[in-house]
Amino acid sequence: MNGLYIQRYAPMLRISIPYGELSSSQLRMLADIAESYDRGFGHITTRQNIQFNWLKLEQVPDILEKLAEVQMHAIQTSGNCIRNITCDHLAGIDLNEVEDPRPWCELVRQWATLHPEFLYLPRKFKIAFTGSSTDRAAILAHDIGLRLLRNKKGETGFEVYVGGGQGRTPIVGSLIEPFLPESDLLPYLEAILRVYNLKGRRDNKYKARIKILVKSIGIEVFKSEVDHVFKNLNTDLLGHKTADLSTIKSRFKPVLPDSIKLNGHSLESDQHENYARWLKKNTLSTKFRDYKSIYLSLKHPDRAPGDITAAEMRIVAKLADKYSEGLIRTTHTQNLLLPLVHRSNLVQVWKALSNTNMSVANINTVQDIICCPGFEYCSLASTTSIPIAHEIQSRFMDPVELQALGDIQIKISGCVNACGHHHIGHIGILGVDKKGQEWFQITLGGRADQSLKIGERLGPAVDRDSIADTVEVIIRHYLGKRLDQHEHFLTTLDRIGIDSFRQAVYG
Amino acid sequence: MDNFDFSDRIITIIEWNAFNQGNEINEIQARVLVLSADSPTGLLNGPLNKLNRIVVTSVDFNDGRIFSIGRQIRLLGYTGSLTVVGDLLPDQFPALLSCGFDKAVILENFNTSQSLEIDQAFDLFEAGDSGTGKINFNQRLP
Repeated sequence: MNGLYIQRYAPMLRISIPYGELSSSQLRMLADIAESYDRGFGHITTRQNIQFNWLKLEQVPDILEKLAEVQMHAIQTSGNCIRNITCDHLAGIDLNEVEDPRPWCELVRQWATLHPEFLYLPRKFKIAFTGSSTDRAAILAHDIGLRLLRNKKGETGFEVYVGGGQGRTPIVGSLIEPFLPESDLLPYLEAILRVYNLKGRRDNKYKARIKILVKSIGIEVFKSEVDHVFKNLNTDLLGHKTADLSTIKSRFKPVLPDSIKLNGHSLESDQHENYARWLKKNTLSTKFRDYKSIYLSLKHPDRAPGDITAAEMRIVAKLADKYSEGLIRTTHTQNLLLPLVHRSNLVQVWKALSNTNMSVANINTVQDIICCPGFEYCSLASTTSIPIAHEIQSRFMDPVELQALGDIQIKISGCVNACGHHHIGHIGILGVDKKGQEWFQITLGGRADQSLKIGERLGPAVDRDSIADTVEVIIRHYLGKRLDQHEHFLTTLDRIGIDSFRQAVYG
Repeated sequence: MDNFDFSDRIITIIEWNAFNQGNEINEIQARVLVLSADSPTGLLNGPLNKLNRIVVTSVDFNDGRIFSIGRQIRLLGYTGSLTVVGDLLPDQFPALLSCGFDKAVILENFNTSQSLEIDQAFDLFEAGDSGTGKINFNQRLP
């Protein structure tokens, strides 16, 4: 439960960032740790945490003490317990949101942290929240996925999904409760967890996740068992009382940063095109009219996807202090976000970022690859994955072409454990070892949103030397076949079918 | 936690099932039911408060079912003594207490006071801390 893993070359420490929310002081501390104890960088994960990959084991107590100074820790970032609660990174600012889910994340975080009953589950347990109809938290790929919604009476509740997951057995979560009144959230979670804790398999770690239990007994039987436990619960939860939610909610009221008028921040004539591109790809409107969110890209061939240097962390912290009320978010897609920046300050932020690759206008493009550490760090990996990402990214460096390609999600895992989420990538890549050689299976048509879908295998695996070429063939085939520049990759795939892509790749 | 006194009469699962079916075991005054994590959950459907003590055995500290079993027994209204025996870690004791156990049989060299100290150091970190509006990760041990 302490977040430490012995990896291929060194111990790795995973540090919890609850629902992806970071303060500038926390980010500065992470920068100090990266510089003093690691090799000068950290790695943002798909579950919104940060990992340090090159630590010395004997220095970990000092690191934990430093983390504690800024209210951070590594508890329950490993082990068979309830892991970090993740959330839509646009929570509280999304235009289409029912309600900000972060107070609920915090409620569940407090309830789940060191929960006496659920520290030795059959296997790890992941919970994700969204408050929006657009799912950016992959809730259907979690052990429990929760979507806030409002019923016809105007009451708030949750759509509850259970038994989703990836790994070697990818399963889309099943709807267990279409509308759970908000006051029942913690008791219902307790009921699900108790059934899982008592009934989940413990004889085989590969069959111990809740998805296997739900699949084996069926969602109807599982639901009836949960409902039975739920009915017999009294109000004396080991966790805490929902009445405290108002206290938590009061801490999530948005504070809108002021517009800072500065001289000398107009654009030079040769900057207009880059700025416009950045504005289009890396910023988005929020529910606050004069405020936009800014993505800080951590995707470029010069870095492992999700890596950020200590110097960059300090730049981001400074920008957050100046323009975003000191707040930063980590995203499921391994980037960072300044949640609320006044429109009048966008040029300043862009200029401040322009000396770094964090301003590259590539959010949701083929460069914005989700990728596991692979052979570079991971002791479980079958193949490399980061170099594959770099090779693919390098094929699409022209910013004009990158924009023209539209949104294509490529996800790479270096083994069947699927940490790179390859199952739910528009283009998924899975590394497999065959007699000491690296091979790569490709899937097409996966998606991680509210219509979450497991991708379909394209055909035989391709070798290490061919994988980037093959991905390029797939993308160029899409370009040639799409009806116009607005037809999304998945729409084209649905329209022409996967066989068309098979033909293009295998002939 | 105290050490468990085995002087009570332990009843067998067969006796317990018979007892649940209405067959009184009159000659037995002190009754102890011994369960394991693998015991059928149906065993808990009987009149638990007729028992003086329930003992749950742990064969592997990683097997977290014992926590839910303890919790379930208390939720069913059992007020007698609830003991856990077997492979346990000292830092599991606070959680076992929270889940309703009041006794544990442990090895002599286990330092239980340390686990309780750690638990107290994380007082505000424990589930139920939201009333304070914040968490506190940096409390030091005295």
